[in-house]
Amino acid sequence: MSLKFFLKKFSKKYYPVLLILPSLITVLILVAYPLLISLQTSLYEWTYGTSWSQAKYVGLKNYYWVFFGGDYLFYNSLQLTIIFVIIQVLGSFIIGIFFALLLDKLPRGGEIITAFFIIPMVMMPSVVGLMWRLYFTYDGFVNYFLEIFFGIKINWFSINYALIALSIATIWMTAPFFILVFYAALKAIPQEPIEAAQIDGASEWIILKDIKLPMLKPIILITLIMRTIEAFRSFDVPYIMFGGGPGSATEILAIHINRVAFSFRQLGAGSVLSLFLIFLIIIMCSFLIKQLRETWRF
Amino acid sequence: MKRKINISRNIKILFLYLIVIILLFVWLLPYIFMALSAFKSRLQVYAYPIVWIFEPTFENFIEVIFGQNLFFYLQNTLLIAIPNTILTLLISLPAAYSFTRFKFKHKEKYFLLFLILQLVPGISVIIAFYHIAMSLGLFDTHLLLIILYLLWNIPYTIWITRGFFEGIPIELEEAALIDGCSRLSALRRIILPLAIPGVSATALLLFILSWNEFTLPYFLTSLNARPLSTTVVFYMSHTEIFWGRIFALGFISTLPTIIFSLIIRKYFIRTLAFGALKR
Repeated sequence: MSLKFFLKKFSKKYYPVLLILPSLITVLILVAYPLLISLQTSLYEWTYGTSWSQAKYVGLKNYYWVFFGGDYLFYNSLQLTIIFVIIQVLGSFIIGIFFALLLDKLPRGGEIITAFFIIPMVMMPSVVGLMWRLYFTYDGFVNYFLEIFFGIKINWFSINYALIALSIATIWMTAPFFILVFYAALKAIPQEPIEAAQIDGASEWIILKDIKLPMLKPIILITLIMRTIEAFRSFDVPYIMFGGGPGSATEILAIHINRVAFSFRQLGAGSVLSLFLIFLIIIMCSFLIKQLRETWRF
Repeated sequence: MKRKINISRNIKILFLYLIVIILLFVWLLPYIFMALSAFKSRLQVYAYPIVWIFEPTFENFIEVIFGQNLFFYLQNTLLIAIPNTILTLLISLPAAYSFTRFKFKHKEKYFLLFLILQLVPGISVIIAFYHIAMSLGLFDTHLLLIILYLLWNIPYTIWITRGFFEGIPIELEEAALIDGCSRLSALRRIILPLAIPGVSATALLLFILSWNEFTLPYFLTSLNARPLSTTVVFYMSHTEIFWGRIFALGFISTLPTIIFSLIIRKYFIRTLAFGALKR
């Protein structure tokens, strides 16, 4: 077998994989290298602002500090993160599916109206954060409408209400994703069973509950898991709206990483927290993979 | 009888449109209010109860554009977003093509791997990126961000363009191959012209992503390469004073992405959603 023939056969067999390789290598390096670096820095005491040569090897001290009481805000922030994620994902899911069902009812023009509904999703998150921060001030936009309709004004920058304010802002920004996906999914499901049910005199609610929702179930599960992961990751809007405050009322994990690493300047402990967040996301990924494999059937 | 049903049905549909339009207005009110307030004078911005009718002024825009050196940050954003978009497309389009047209071992597993890898949180890798940037001397350079954005943008592009390529019938390509075209020239003559709308929409989408990115540039740039998205931070400690300017900056920096997303709306709805739907 000549070399030329061998090369030709080789490239034919591996051609598809060769096309993927540049992407795969780039992404793998960009993910794996920082992870290894994080593992390394998590074992060092390294002050933000000083050079790496001044970092001191301390073994597992940073891990001990984070998980066993040294970092007194850690468990608080973990709890806050879970509450924040549940409110945000469920809130945007309910709003998203409501709007999608409504838009699906329109005989025409649904596409262009959907495009306007998703404007919050394509806005710069840092602007969204700062905008809502102004809206939630005492004499601001939100209280203006609360006073008109309910005759109350709320101090949103207080410990009890800050997390709710943050959730409202993030729901506004993330619900469009659900609107978009569910609108497209509803347009794609076969219409015959729905029409047949309508002829048989089934009510709207029955059609929704027994036909539409079961058909959407895989996509609902996939998008819910994806949004949950996104919610755990979100840093920009929470950071700009409240920066973790007042006190630590909105200090979710992503904000806590920033505070430990860059405000307390402990990059080592910050790395431990970073790895912990990745660990949480890996757990959720396993659910995502399971669901995707069921849906795609491979 | 039939006509009567039609009339009542038409009224119902008209009513439905009315509800949808009202809901859309309420939904976008925060944005509309920001756009309105950008044109308010210093006193009107703080007025409570809110002033809805006023004579527009451009003073906030003038202050933001010339007082804060907006063009410098805009230039940085473009110097990062445009090269990153081109680089991303060059690297990931062959992969997307491969996923669409070839059958190979563990294909869906590779595809899934891309999806999983891009779930890495930006805030989780920021310390490592800071460390790498410092040791390579790339801190506060455009090049650093151009490369780092690839981590999220490549998987994202593969994910959505695969759906688009699958919409181009394989028969066209097969016909060209039978007529004696090589695979490469079939790609160039048949697929590329058909793929141009989808690829340009993807390019706009990538541009939106780079334009909006906050976490990475916030920690990895200081004076030289700082993009527009991080400039809102200048106002964070002065939120009591500069409302008008904040709204003007917000209006300017969200307008391009909103216009782009309206341009590519069909593509948005078709591919972004279908990526997750079926394989």
